[in-house]
Amino acid sequence: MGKRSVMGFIVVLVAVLCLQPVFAQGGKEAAATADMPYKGQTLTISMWGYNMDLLVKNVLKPFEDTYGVKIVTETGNNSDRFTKLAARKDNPIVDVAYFAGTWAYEAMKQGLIQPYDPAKIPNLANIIEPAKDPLGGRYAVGYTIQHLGLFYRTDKVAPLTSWKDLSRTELKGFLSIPGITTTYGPAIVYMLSKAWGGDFSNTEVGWQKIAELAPSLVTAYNNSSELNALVIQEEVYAAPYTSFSWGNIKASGFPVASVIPEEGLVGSFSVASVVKGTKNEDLAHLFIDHLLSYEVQMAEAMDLVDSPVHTGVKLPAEIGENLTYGDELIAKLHFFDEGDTAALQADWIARWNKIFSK
Amino acid sequence: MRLKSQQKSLVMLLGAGSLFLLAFFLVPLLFVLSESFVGDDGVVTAARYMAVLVDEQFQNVYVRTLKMALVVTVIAVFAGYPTAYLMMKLKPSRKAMLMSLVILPLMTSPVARTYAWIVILGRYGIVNQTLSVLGMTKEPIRMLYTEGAIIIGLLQLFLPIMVLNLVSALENVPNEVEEAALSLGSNKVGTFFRVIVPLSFDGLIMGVTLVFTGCITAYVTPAILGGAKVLTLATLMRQQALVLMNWEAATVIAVVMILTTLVLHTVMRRFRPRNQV
Amino acid sequence: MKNSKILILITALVFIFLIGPFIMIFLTSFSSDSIMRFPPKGFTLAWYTKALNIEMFRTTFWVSLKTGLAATATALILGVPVAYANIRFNYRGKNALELLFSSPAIVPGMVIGFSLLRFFVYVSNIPIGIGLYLGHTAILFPYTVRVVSSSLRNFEGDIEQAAISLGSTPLHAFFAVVLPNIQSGLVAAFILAFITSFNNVPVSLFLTGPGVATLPIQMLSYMEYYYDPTISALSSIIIVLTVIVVQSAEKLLGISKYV
Repeated sequence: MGKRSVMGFIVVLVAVLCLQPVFAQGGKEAAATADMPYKGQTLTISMWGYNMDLLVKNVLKPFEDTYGVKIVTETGNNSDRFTKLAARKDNPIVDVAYFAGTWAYEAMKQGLIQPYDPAKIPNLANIIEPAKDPLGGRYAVGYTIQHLGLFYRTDKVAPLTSWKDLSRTELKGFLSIPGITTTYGPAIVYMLSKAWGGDFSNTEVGWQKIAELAPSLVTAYNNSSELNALVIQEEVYAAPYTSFSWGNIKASGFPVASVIPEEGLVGSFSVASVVKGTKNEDLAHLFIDHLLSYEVQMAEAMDLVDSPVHTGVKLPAEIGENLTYGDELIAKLHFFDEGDTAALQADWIARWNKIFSK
Repeated sequence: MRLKSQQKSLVMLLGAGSLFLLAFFLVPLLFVLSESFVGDDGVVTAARYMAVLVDEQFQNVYVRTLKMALVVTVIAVFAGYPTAYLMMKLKPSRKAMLMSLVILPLMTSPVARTYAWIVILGRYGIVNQTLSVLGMTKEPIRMLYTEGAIIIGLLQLFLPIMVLNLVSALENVPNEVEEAALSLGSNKVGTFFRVIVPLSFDGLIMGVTLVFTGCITAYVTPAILGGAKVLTLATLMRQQALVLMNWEAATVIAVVMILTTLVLHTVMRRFRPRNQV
Repeated sequence: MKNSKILILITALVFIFLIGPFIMIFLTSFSSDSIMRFPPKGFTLAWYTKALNIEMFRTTFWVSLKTGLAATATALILGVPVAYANIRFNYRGKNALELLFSSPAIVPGMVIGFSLLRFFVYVSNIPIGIGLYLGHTAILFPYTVRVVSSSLRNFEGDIEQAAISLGSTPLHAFFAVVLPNIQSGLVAAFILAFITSFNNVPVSLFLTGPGVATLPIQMLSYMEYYYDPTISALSSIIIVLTVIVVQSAEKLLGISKYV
């Protein structure tokens, strides 16, 4: 193969690929019909990319089939998607956005999402009370509940019973906690404060404990895969974890147990909101209603993707124990006010960075 | 007349490219950069710069970033010179083969490249396994999420740049010079330092500049190998921008990065004997 | 002349250091263990099947390929005249323009990505795919200009001058004489720029959007949640493809000259 043929090959390849979209434009848009008023429309959803194949099967595909619409997704973590939503504020292309509570709160404050119309979401009647309006002002619906659990290696450390136990010397060098910038970062400060005699409005003692713990941490993890990697590589024997990663932690094959410490655990909702200025307001509401339906909530729970907020969903024990499910667990969860946390965020990150940049 | 036609062709040659970069690079960039000089009240101010520059954490991270860049550069020089020198002496076919291996880290997806180090440096990675088999360590050593891990990752990425610059500089050193020095009684090491190094100084300076500045702006490597515990300028900037939504502070950090890079380029240029572009 | 042993030792260590990680990742990609550790256990192709069956990886691969090819082609078409002007002519403001053309390589990618995102929203309705393509074209510019310049520098202008003095127009001389003589440089520029685009993370991070994501972004997103050899398998495929391209480019063009 000479230089000339390499050039020729490249030219042809570029030409073919650049022209391809031109030919692909030929598809015709399906017209709306009486029983499918939204047929042919497109709904754009901003969501996490986790378990995408199952989300397509359980949530997106059934919606597309029922209403004859096409769903386009934007996937990524909270911060990346938030940045894009904020940058496109005046000209939004996303219709429905999923966020963790803190980020939804920030989105509300910056005017990126709009209040939902409860009349267009009849399934609200079937979900647990705190999920209906976690931010206040009807800006978001909690479509799944999660919690921050605590696990330990049963073969390496004695059972943990309290958040105080994170300070035990045997965990030195084998502990990780979520970074302050993650969803549950601030929760660690709250729980440590509570455990060591402070409370949620007085977190000085919690911060003191963070500073004491800092040198014994392997790292502060930024996402669940990082924690997963740390567990698999046996860098970590105990850590607070996000409930949806429990399956992966158990799959590491090591003897691990999750505990409910005496001070309790932290709960939160993943929420869905209607994006402000969307051109598909009705369809966006219809989708959120679909998300809360018994069928979707059940299917997601059975595949261990999302814990249900639908009160009618009853799960077999072997499924329920892997989710944020069951009265005993839910009674032990603390839910923090996103507004309070958001107000403290900048200060707390600065404080955290100061501790960790030493 | 001649001048005019030259002007016309210049406009034709440079016009399209300049307009493109102006529209899709410079204007958007200047727009964002200018925001860092405007306070919340809309008045022009350097307050944002002051706020970042006096911050103790920023200073720590800045010093750490420079320190790591320096370490990487020094190792790259000491590992790069012998490698480049040896490659010079090889048959062209062999040399070409090694060259294509040298540039591989530069050509490979940063995600894949950095990911490999997680497997290697982990508690049960090959390094720890080897050390324990050799009986050199009892307990696995913690290597991930340290400055050392970032330095290793950066070195793999930037050592090739050093080698490439040294190879092209050494190619310009005539073989006879070295032979003459040797025949005049200088020993090999002496020849290397007194003859080869000065003659390839240009490539060395170029390599040092590129490696050092590359280390300062690298993002993927410190993000994956340093995690949340060991921040560098680039990862701190991301935290400011994407987590705190403080784009102005992030822009200030970016400006500091760009200025550091430019200052380095200018300073290093003074060391270069022949002024090439 | 014999090369001393210590020289060979250092060089060997350097190459182990540079290439070893790629071999490691290749080995773990066949491990039947779902955990990545050394030494790998068993042998399976399951991770490859899994990686190739994830639809998002397939669609984003095509996006990366198309964006890379289109952006590289554009950057070359715009960059070749610029390189030509800078080598053949001296003019006022040359230094400033040279700085402009190299600056996309100096400014941190995240800043470029964010600036462009804001800009594209401001001028409204630029489709995401087009924005991604424009952003990539901008960051590839310095590469095409640099590589083509260095290959023009090696090509003496004499033949071109001769052609012009024999009655050929400068434009005709450019196409008939200059371009064919810098063919290697053009192909090298194409390959380097394409690889740069294909691997880019910071700019793509901002310019991707609903329905349009690139492969590295998708891989990073996958890595946020999963820690298994699927990424090893996918990385191995990319590494092997890269090795093939780089090896043949080195053989045909001596691409390392241009890096």
